[in-house]
Parts: sequence; C-alpha cells; structure tokens
Amino acid sequence: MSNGGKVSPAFGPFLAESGRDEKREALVVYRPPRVGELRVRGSLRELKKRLDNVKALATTQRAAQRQLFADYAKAGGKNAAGKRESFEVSTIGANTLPVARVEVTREHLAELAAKPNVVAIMPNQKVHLIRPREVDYDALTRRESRDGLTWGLRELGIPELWKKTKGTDINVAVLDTGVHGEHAALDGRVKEFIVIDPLGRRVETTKGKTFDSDSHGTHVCGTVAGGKTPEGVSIGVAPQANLLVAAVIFGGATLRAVFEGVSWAVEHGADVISMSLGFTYYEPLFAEFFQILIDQYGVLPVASIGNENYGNSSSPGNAHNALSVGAAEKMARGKLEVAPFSSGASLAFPAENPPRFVTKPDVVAPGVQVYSCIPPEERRDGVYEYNYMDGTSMATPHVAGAVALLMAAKPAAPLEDIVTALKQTAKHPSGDDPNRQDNRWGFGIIRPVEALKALS
Amino acid sequence: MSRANEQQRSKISPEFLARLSGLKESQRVRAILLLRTSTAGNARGRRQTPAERSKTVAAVRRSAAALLPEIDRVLVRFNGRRLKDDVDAFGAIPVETTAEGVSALAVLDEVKVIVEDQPVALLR
Repeated sequence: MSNGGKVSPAFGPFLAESGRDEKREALVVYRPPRVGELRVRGSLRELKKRLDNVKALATTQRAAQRQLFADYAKAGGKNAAGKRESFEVSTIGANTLPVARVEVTREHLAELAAKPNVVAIMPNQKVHLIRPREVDYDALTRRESRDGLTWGLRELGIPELWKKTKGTDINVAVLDTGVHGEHAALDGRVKEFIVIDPLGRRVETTKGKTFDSDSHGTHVCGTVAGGKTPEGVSIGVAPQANLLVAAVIFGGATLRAVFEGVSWAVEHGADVISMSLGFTYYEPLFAEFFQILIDQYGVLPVASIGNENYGNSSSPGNAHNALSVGAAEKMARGKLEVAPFSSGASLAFPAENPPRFVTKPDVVAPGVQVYSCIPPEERRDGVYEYNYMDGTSMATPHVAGAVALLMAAKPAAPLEDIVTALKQTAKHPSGDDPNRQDNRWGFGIIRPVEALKALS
Repeated sequence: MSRANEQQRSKISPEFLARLSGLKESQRVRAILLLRTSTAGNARGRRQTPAERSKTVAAVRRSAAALLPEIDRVLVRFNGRRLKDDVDAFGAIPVETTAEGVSALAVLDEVKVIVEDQPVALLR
C-alpha cells in the first residue's frame, strides 16, 4: 500500500488477515494548527501564560480534529450485511496532543493516510508494565548438573567438538576487569596476566599473581576456558585454551588502556581477543585498528554489541570488521530468543565514500543465565565461587571460545574463512537465506559443529 | 572542500570532529594516532608463529618510530606532547594537544587515523 510512510508497519497482520468490514482502533497523529510559541521554562507568570496557551491550543486542535475527521466518520459505507455504518472518532484527553482515536478498516486506512494533515497512523495497542521476570535458577542448576555442562555449551553442541579438540595451544586474550587466576575452574589456564593502569602503563604483578577488580573478568574467562565446577558442570567452551588476561577496566579506564592491552596481547601471541567492553561514543575508525589485528597479526577481534536494546550498538562491537556478538536466551519451553536487552543496529560507516551500511550484530550466543566462575565472594550463607550473569558480555566469550576450538581444529584456516563459516552456519529463525542478517539475530546463533564441517 | 578538511573527515570520526569543534582554543584533548606503517598485510589473516609475530611487531614499531620526529614537530607547534615514548604493536601513539593540533596532525601523510582517548566501560 502506498501511504507515504504514514501507516505503521504494525498494521501488517491486520491488513493481511482482516475482513473487509473488520474494524480496528487506530491512533492518528495529525498536523496541529499553529498557535503562539510555547515557552518550556520560565517564571510563574510565564508558566501561567503557557497554561493559557495550552488551553487555547487544545480548543484550536479540537476544532481542527473535528474538521479533519468529519467526512471520514461518515465514510463507513455499507457493511457485509448491507447496513450503513460510520466510524467512531474520539479525542484523547482534552485535545492537548494532536492525536485522535479512530476506527479503521483495511479499506479506509489508505483513505485516511491520504489526508494531507494526517502525519501517522498506528494501531492502538495494549500497554503493560515491564515486570521483573522470575527466574527459576534451581531448575536451571538441576538441569545443568544433570547434563554436566551449562545450557550454553549444550546449546552450541560443544561436547561434539571436544571429541576433536579442546583448544590446546590457542591463545585467547581477554581484556576485562582482570581474573582470579587461582580459581579452581581456571587451574593452569591463565598463562599471562598484566594490569594496564588508566594512563596506559603496564604494571606487572609480583610472582605472576592475578587479581580481578570486579567479578566480570573472571566470569568471562571461565566461559572461554574454564573447567568443571565441583558438581561436575563444564563451564568453558575451550577448556584447554590459554588465557592471556589484561586488566584494563578499572578506575576511569580510557581507550589508551585498551590499546595498550591489545598491543600487549599481540606481543604475547594472542590468536583471538575477547572484548566485553564499550566506548562512550561511536568510533567507526576503530575498525582501522582491527584491520591491523586481522591483516598484520592474524588475530580475530570478538566484541560484544552492547546491552542497550534494539536500535543501539556499542563501539568497538559495531566496527565493520569486529565479529560482534549479541545475547541469546533460552525461554521456558526451550525456545531460543534474542534477549530483550541485546543491542543491534545498522550504521553508516562514514570512512568510505559512499558510506557503507554495517549491520550488527554478526551472530548471537548464549548470554542469559550464564553460569561461570567468580572470585570467592563471602555471603551470609557461605562463600560463593560461581554465579549466573546476563549480558552480551557473557555471549562474547562463548564465541571467542568457539573460535579457539575452530582454530585448534583447523590451524591453517584463515580468519576470514572461520568468520564466514560461523556466520553462514549460524541458525536464524527465518532460515538459511544468505542475506538473513538482521539487527536482532545477526546471522543467527552460532553452530560451531556445523562451522567446523564448513571449514572441512 | 579543502584538502585539509577532506583529510580530517577521512581520518577523524564525525563524533570526534564535533567534540573538537566544541573545545576552547587553549583546551587540550588526548588522542591516539595510528601511524601509517609500511608493513601492512603481513599475516594476511592467518595465525602467526611466535617468531613471525615478534618479527612483525618489531617491524611495525621500527616503521612507526621513524615517523615520530614529524609528529613531534607538529605537536610542539600546538602546545602538545606525546604521552608515551614508544609506539605500540599497532604503530599507534597517544598524544595530547589542542583541537587545532589534532587538525594539523590529520593533514600529515604519516598519520592514518586519529581517535579520541575516550572513556571505556564494561558492558553490563
């Protein structure tokens, strides 16, 4: 339907499935008549004047609305039973906003949209509170104990890959808050550790001691290369990969610390870099640095896309050449969905002329209720060394670990082939269309076993 | 569009340019310069052996270090300074200078990209 973009796409199902006379309530935004300028702030006298203006505006809008919909209300025509019907048009509040509640049928929607003063038409929808979701961690814990692995590892089919490799000799660098390397689940995995202070200086700890300024870094490291919990639950995707950990996020960290951390990781032989961090603003030119990582050093940057919902994205995950990761969650009945918080957007990449549009994320991975290790935490009922965390931060190490497994299984595979295999074999609800990438799923949830087959 | 403007637009992101335009003349900003080194495409996207990696890092550093005198000359003119003696494995160096200094650096052929040393946080 050509409607000049006035009719919301949310009318799609109604237009496709409704009968000729079936009515639906719509909210119609119309162009308001111009009245005197309204001041937003000011003294009490000005506020009184403003209130008077608002009342005058409401009166003018009421008249304009009546005129705008006068003929439309009568245009209902005959229904299927041959009976003449009109459309109900009602105001919202006291007409202070140029919005009316209007009944529409699929036939008359176009007529309404054709009116020059109609700006937008959207279906009236039920609105509900966003309530905190109750999560049954007990059931999840029981299931993971029974399976002997986290739901994320199970979903990705990781044990199948372990028949071939567990990531031996692959160096995964984690740039985060640090790591509690003494954790039993990380026994022998942290091969290198450095603290980068906010001024970008490398601070080596005595006797190779590690620390985590938070618990985030340890959790991420556990998902990349952790072993088993005392209950026998495997938490790490590549449990024999080496971890090179740079503590870059603490005390007002800036990009300088990240650069120093990446540079340190490169010098220490990193093959993959996992970054669950974000900058303050969009920096598309960070892609130049990633290109050096890829071209000159053969290092793959894997980065979180952010937790700011659909329509947003974080740098550096939104750089065109980062393998950027969104978060998937397992719903109550086992259905897989993209987590509501998981970011995704398409951005113009201005360094090229004409600008290229970059769609993110590239893939999704388990990022909700992810069980992994943390530095020991004393609570009232005991010491906790594992917990659940949510976020694209938790999805990213799943992908970094999967890349490590693929690199170990196919040491000669170029990075480009590994990335292509992960994207093209990813499972998307809309099927296998090569152009399926969207801002929710990217190409879909990774399937490392299928990716390995594709590389073979 | 002048060459200088064209250079700025290709080497500095629109967001950083907008922030620079809001700075006072004497105000300084911290930025990271990516220098144009001559060792591009070494690994061609393949994993390197430790020896290959060390060789590439050394080559990038050597190539970038040769460009530093020119960078220093511009920094001195605009009340700026390097924040580190050596370049990193990217061939990048953090600097501090005025908005005008950043613009002047962007015109240099030796400079490939300039990004602001902006705050970084965890994605929670």
